[in-house]
Amino acid sequence: MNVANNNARSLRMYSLPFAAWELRLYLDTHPDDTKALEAYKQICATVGGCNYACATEAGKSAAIGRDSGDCGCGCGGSSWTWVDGPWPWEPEANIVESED
Amino acid sequence: MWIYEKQLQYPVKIKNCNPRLAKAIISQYGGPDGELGASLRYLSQRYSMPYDVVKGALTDIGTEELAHLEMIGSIVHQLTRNLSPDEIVKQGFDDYFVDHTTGVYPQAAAGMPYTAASMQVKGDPITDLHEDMAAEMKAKTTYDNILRLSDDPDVNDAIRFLREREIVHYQRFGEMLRHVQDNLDSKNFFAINPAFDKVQKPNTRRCQ
Repeated sequence: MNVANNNARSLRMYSLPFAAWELRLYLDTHPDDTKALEAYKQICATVGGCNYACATEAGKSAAIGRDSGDCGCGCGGSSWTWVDGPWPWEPEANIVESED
Repeated sequence: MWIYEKQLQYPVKIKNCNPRLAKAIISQYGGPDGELGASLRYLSQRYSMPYDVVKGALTDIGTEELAHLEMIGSIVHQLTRNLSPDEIVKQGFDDYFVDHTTGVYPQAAAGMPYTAASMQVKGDPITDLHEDMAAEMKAKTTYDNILRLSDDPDVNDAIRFLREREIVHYQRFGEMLRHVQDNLDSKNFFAINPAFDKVQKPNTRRCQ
């Protein structure tokens, strides 16, 4: 195997991000599985923070009226809210200046 | 929107060049059951899915397939470095070389350029999810065939990772299919298209 799980560099570069990604896919189809969500949050804490997508989500969530305490990737919430709508291709998710 | 993470999902570091093998592996770049087709299929299907769980999973799996496309491109790139004209001819790489040198071009192993004709977006959730399960199995079989053709341990290690991901994706698509069916009346499975017919409330997140 080209990835060894017994050294810090392999873990940080490949194994831990992969474990988080795998949990993400699982949570997409099981958004109310709290054990899986806890495991995901633990990995985020171990790698020193959530992934970059989360950082950009936090500011935007507040702007479109979502609960600003939950960045949308599941790191802060009690369920996997990543799957919740609106999704970007839906009109409700978009803000144009002509609206009040 | 997409952000690029400047790292492969799984490392690819190949010591030996092998253009003959590269020609076979390139099918997972631009071939009928390859990663380009997979990502385009899933990222396109998500618009007509009426369920958040399926929109989310198709987005994430489609994104992961782009990461796999990058791995395959990396494998082909590394297998075709430092070639002599003699090797190019001896390994049967000359017909690809003449049109693409050692560039990575989206085509099937037999030379057909990538085409969306090998994928479908039918706009019906149950139909599309069956397409997706089949796509993952086709990709897995292609990786099986690549492993039959390759005895390079560096290549095989990366290929085995990619093959395993196909199996996991197949599992996820099965769960999405079940989620869709759970949200339909058992009398309704084949009677309506929940993406188009307005008989019931779409966009449910949890199983009812």
